[in-house]
Amino acid sequence: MHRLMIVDDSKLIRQRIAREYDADTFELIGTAENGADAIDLFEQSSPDVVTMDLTMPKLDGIDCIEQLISRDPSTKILVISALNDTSIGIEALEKGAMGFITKPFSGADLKAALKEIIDD
Amino acid sequence: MSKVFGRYAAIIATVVVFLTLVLGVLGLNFYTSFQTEVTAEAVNIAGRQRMLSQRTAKSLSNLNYKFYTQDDLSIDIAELKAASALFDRSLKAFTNGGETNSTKGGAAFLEQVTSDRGREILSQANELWGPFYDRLSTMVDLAERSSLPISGQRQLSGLIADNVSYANSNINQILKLMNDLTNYQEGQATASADTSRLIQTLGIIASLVCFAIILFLIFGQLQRADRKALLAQRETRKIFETVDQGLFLIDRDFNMGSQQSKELERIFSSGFLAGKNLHTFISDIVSSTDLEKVLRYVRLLFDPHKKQKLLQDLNPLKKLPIQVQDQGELTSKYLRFSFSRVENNGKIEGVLASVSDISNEIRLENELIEETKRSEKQLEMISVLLSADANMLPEFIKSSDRTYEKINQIFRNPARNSSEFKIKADSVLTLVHATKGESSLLGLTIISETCHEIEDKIDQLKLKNDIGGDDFLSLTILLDRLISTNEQMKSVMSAVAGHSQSPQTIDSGETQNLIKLATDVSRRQHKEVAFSTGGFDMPHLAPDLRKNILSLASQLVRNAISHGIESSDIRKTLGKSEQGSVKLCLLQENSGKLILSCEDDGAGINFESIKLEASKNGLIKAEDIDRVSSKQLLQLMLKNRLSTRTAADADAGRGAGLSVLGSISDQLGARVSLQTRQGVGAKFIISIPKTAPEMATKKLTEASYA
Amino acid sequence: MKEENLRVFLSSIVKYFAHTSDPSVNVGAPYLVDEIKDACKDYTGLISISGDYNGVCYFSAPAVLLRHLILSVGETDTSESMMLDAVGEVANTLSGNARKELGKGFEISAPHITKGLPTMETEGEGNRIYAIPIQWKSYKAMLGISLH
Repeated sequence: MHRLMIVDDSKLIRQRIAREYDADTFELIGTAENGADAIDLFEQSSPDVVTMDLTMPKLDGIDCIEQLISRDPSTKILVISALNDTSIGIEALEKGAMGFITKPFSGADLKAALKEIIDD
Repeated sequence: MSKVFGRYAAIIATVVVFLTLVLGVLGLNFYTSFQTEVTAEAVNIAGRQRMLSQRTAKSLSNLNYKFYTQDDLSIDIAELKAASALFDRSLKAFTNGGETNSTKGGAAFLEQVTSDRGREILSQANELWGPFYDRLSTMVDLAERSSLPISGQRQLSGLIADNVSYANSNINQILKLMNDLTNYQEGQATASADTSRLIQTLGIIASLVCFAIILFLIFGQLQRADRKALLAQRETRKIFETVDQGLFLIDRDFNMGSQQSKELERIFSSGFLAGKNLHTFISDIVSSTDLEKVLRYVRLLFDPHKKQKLLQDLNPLKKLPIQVQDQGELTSKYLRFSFSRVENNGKIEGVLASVSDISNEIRLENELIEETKRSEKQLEMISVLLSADANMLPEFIKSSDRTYEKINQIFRNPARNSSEFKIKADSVLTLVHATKGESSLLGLTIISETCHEIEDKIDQLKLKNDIGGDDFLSLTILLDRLISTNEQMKSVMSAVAGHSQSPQTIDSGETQNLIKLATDVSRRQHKEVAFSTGGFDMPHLAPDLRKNILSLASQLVRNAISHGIESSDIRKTLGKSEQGSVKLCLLQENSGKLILSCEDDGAGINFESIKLEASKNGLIKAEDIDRVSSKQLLQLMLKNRLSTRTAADADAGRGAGLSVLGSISDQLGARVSLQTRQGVGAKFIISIPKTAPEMATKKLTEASYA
Repeated sequence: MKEENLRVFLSSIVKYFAHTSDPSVNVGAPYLVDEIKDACKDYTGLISISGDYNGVCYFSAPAVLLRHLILSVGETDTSESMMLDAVGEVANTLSGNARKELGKGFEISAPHITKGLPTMETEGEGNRIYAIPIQWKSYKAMLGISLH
């Protein structure tokens, strides 16, 4: 069972992800609506899989990825962003993210992407 | 590993055989040299036997002499004893095998002589030597005694004499036998040396053969490998030459590999790019921000933790617009780069980049978008047309076209200062406002919205203190849009009209026939003609009338193309467009009168040459030639066969064209008029009265049947 | 047709004259014409545009304007070749600015200089030309733009 944390500033997207992930493989340990909260939650509950939005208030996704990876390099981060820009994707991967999907996404997209990062 | 072994099995086996042979030859060599030593010793010992037999005989004779001279016997006794003992020992060693003194000191082992010849010699020798040695031994034993009684002296003297006599009769035979033995041994040695030499030679030959086989096999293997490598190389080259993608490898240091496909050079219109660094290569074609992105991306490709599939989605060079200098001309292209890892045993060794020119795809894509946009617009327009009051549309288009022209003229009128520009804007506002009202009445929201936009802009403009011509830019753009909308409406309307006609019109075939006629004639006459026709869809016309009108029309078309329109070469020199134009039109006026007109932009009618022709035919008198009017000439042409064409062909030249026209017109009671200017064109207009005589009777007949 | 694109051309002409002895340039209200010959003066420098957009842009000026322009820079030779040069230079400026300002979708040709009507055939139907009158001193020149 993987411990999943959802980071997104949109409540809608958080609920959407929470509804769509595969409950047999993941256990939701909490959601955060900005980067700073995500770091706090990470330190409290140490998830091993994180879905990460990129444009968020307080601490943006790229910095958040960097901080999470510095705390635990084995953290598997899936970026879920509306920014369909290759350079931001490249940057997220450089910082240590494992996967990248763009909004809007389907339930199957999300499941496949999550499966792929934990299979690695 | 086992594969490698398999491939070289033959070579390895031969090498093993070769080594065994070499070792065998070496071993044999060692053995034979030992054997040679042994046989050589045997020969020496056999030779020594000869000497020993002589010495034995000599010391015996010395002993005999000294015995009589009463001298000391001890030296000779010792000599005799040693020589005979050694002879005996050696002979026994030859006979039974065993040790004897070596000729070089120490002991030597002799093998038993087993051959028949050897045994014969030895048995003869033993036969002679055995009793002799026994007697010698007895004699020596006696002689060695320190004090010998007289009887002993006598016995000794007898033994000596006995031995001497034995020796005298037999020692030569013994010597001879020993000589034979020596020769025999020598023979044996030579024979065994020969054998071993033969074996050695054979061994060496076998190893040489083996070695040759090894060389052959290795050479063959190398050749095969070379051939394979060459074939593979050729294949790779072929692939690289023919593949329609630019292919190259990138290593960890971003260096581009030495093998590159031909297409790469074609795409970049430059020479060999091998060994270049990706950095320098890419920096020539992309912006610096893109360059950084590409380099970061390629670096990620070398990171084994990043999934290749994911990276493919992030490829920053999926669609890269570039400008390439091609034969001095700057052309723009769209390229697609794709990258994939080259892995070996799970290790990323490099990245294979492929570049394809997707300009065509992009162009098609754009065209498709453009086409979709256009059809969307048309669809929108059709829905507008459907929602608008269709009868009022043509009127609206006409009036709004005029309005737009007026607005454009207002823009065009010079304005010297801000207030003049303001007046300009105001007058535009009034015009636009009217159009806006009309269009919204008809439900043409596209137009009314644009008009509204213009009003808004003008309102904003008037708030400014200082207005200049450039403030009108946006207004002109909106005017352009309004004009385009009208153009689109017109094209949609004609398309809609065209579509709605075809199913019900009985004689669209006739229109088609006229078009076909025009194309056929212009092809035959080698002329380029734009032919347009309309109005022939009048299903209510009586079939006969229609037939006549059609004959008139075809005559007019033939005439216009073969006489009127000049060849495109001539038209070019005249400064006209290469393509001539012929417009054929049938109209029915409200009164019911039919107007058939045919207009061309050709040479016009040269009345002077007609006059000449007419006077030649005697139709006009020479003295009247200057007084005859063009109207009269036309009548002449319609009534007589007159042609200015020198050669007759299928289309014109017999002068029949206009006379046919004239006769049919007469039949229909039609009036033919002609407008023409030389070099500019001609227009025939035939007005056919509502009740053509023939038509009237037809109608009557039809009515009586009804 | 976008206003920004028109402004790029217009402002480069204005900028050009801003560097002469008399920097004031009056721009007239733009209007539409169907063919180049409808908005054309004695000398014309024309650049053609291809790529995502197709069209032409030209600067057309009467001889007097060019003569004055030549004299204003201290040159005394106002022969025809000098006038062609002068109109060519304006067109060059147009071309250069357009290259710099307009995005990737524009490919700008080198200027094509003619006396009288440009020999460039007009583009297809429905592509009107924006004629923008330019007044420098008392002379009226013309900036023509057609993009589609």
